[in-house]
Amino acid sequence: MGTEEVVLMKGIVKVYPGGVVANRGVDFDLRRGEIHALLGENGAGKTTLMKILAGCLRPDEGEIYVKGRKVDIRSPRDAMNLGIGMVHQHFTLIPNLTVAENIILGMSDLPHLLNLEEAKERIRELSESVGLKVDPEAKIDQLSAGEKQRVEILRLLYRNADVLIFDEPTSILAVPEVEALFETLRSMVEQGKSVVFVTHKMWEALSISDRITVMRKGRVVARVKPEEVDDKELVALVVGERVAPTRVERAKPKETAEEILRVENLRVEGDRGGLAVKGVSFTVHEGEIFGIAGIEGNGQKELVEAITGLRPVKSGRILFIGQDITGRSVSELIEMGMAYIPEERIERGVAADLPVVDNSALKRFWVNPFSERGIIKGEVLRKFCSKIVETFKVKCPGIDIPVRYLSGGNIQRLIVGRELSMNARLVVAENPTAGLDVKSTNFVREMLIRLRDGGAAILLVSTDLDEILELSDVIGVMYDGRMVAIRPAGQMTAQEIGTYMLGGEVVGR
Amino acid sequence: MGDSVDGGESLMALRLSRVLGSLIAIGLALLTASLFIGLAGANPVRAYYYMFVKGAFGNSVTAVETLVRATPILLVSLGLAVAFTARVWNIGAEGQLYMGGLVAAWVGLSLGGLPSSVGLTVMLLSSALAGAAWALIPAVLRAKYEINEIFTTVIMNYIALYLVSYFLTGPLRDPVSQFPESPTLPQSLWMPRLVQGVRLHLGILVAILVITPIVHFLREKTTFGFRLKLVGANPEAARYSGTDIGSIVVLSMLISGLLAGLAGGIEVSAIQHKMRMELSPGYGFTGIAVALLGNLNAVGVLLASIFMGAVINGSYTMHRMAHIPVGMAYLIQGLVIVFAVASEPISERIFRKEVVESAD
Repeated sequence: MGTEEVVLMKGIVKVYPGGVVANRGVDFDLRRGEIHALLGENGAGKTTLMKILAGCLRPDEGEIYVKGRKVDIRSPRDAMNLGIGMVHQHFTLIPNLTVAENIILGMSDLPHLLNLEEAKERIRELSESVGLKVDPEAKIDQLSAGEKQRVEILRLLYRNADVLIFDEPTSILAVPEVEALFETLRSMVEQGKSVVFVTHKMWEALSISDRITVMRKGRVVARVKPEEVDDKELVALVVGERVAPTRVERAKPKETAEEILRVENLRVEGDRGGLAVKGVSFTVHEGEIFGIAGIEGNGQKELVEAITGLRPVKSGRILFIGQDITGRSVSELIEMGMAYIPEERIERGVAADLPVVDNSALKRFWVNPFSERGIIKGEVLRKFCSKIVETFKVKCPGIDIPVRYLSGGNIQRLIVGRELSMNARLVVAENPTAGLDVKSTNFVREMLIRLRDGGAAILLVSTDLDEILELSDVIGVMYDGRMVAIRPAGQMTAQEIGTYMLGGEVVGR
Repeated sequence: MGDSVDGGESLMALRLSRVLGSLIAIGLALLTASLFIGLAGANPVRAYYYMFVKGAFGNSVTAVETLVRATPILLVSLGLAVAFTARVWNIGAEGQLYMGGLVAAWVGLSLGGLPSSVGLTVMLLSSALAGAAWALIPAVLRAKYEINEIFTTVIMNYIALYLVSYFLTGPLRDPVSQFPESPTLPQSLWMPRLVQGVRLHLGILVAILVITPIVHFLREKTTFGFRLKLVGANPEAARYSGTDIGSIVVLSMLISGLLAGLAGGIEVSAIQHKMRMELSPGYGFTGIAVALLGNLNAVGVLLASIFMGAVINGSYTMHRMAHIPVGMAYLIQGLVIVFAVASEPISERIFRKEVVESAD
């Protein structure tokens, strides 16, 4: 490994339009021929930093040097011209074109008459040199996720990239594919290329990288070599020193609390086929907040969708207030008293083009007293909406205007207000405060606690460990589709939870 | 910031901005068409005078003729407004209308000796069902297999036209006519006229006074209408709140087919008294423009239908007096679609300025 710096980023600051500060003065460097892991929780600012380097985002402050020269990267094309390319979490390939076509697509110096044969030949050579087996003539939609990733890598190599950034590359791969990817990475750095490996999986960082940079809350907290740390120390760095959470204690934990939700050995398929939830069991009682901690993409989303009726269950059972609800329709579950605050507010939680009043009644418009015999009672709807707007302090110019004119925080207040106004027995809350300002965050948390104290069961799924620690009565941790730990709050330290979240137990697997 | 949550004002402003958008669309369409009128060697002001003042609303006879033209357009576009609300793009109203007309004629000719009211009811109901049945195929393909309904409905138009052509040159052909058309219906099945001497028939009143309010009620006041809007605005939010998207797609398509078929039946019963290849001068397509121009709202669609009826009806007078080809009516129609679609961001901007920004 050489010591020549190919990339140097100094004092990078990035503030998103909503006011979220993703990078607070970050320094980062990459040497020729090294694999540099960038480790941290969701929202630590890893991806933002790398998107800045790859030209997808512009920094608000800071300087970037590439091979010793100060540069201004305005676009992915600028980055590519400097030899920097990124393999994103979500693929950017066109499904009905071939591998070769996708690889040459968007190159600036293509002749008007394509010579695909020449391209295919070069692709074959390249794929052999780094051990990436791909048929240049295959169509993208015939390929597996792992093969698509190889195409993304080849696309960068075809453009002579020598700095390759991988954003969570293993999240879509099966175990043997991970091994193959690591082989490829090693052979690439042997050829003098440099790799940034963005991950939240500790054992990956430890096993593949030459150096590890740990980020937390927009800052670099450590830069270590894998041989210098053990996984305990690394977890402490990632999770940080958490003050004993100022947890709001339950009013009176009832001994005889009724069981509201029971999940038994649940298996659920993910979007790309294969199991996303691999046999999960747990129970939630009335007057209890069950917090599920975990890094994004470990099966929480699929688990929530199965419970709320949006995703079919592969096997196992879900019981709600004593009834088997596996396979029941969404409307039945709503009528039984299941509320759901979704993470995707705009995409799922509201119909942005419809007025505030319609959105406030999304879960109730078909039941008495909101309608009778299929006829909606407009006045009842309007009163209900006005009450939500008042109680939950939704700022809006009028309840007849489309929701899309509301700010993100106010849309979330509307959704929370709607879901908490339906006398639910169970509230499923999925990252309910993500992206909200402090005031709205506290407001939403207070509401959840008040509802819990009123006797509702709450299933809180959050990638924000602080939120889990602050609110939960019982904490479960999900990793790789499994519930790897369930314990009452207070019997598990932040470090322990962090270890589970990062796959700590699985290190020696 | 106005914390007034009663929202009456914002609702008014929203509606007004949409009406304004439609008026702008009509204005721009007429303005652009006047270029072509000028190219055709006529004075646009005079041409429009003949079209609207003399031709469309000149006297009671021409005004009634405007309504005669407007009625099938109204029925078709009311149905399309229902489908379009759910973002189900039924482009097959023309074929559904033809199937309605064909079945109306077939049923009418097979019905012997029934009293007029019963016979008419049976005939018109079967025309509506025929239209709905024709719409069912693309609806199910979309709901079950996610096959884009735009393509299938367009294709179904051709199938309908050729099917009609087969029947009118074959089994249903009038043996004594030299044209491919059905025999004339018995007089008992002719839609009654309300005033002697003009073609003011019962169907016009039914369309305006019965069906328009029903569609309005359905869209604005029922849970079904709510679900239509929800599926149209955000299918994922619809799924999340327990609406079965497939059934809404099928139902909305069926309703639009039902009304298009009925339009065909009424044309056969009230205007042609037989089934002909020339049953419709493209009412099924005009309805698309009218539904958009009317902002998918039943009242708006009613006004837009009368406007389009006036354009078509007036184009004949314009042709006679200013020698502008009748095709100008369809040019205006096409321009209206273009500008109606383009006016959406304009009315959006008006609304944003008036309500949202002034509220901050």
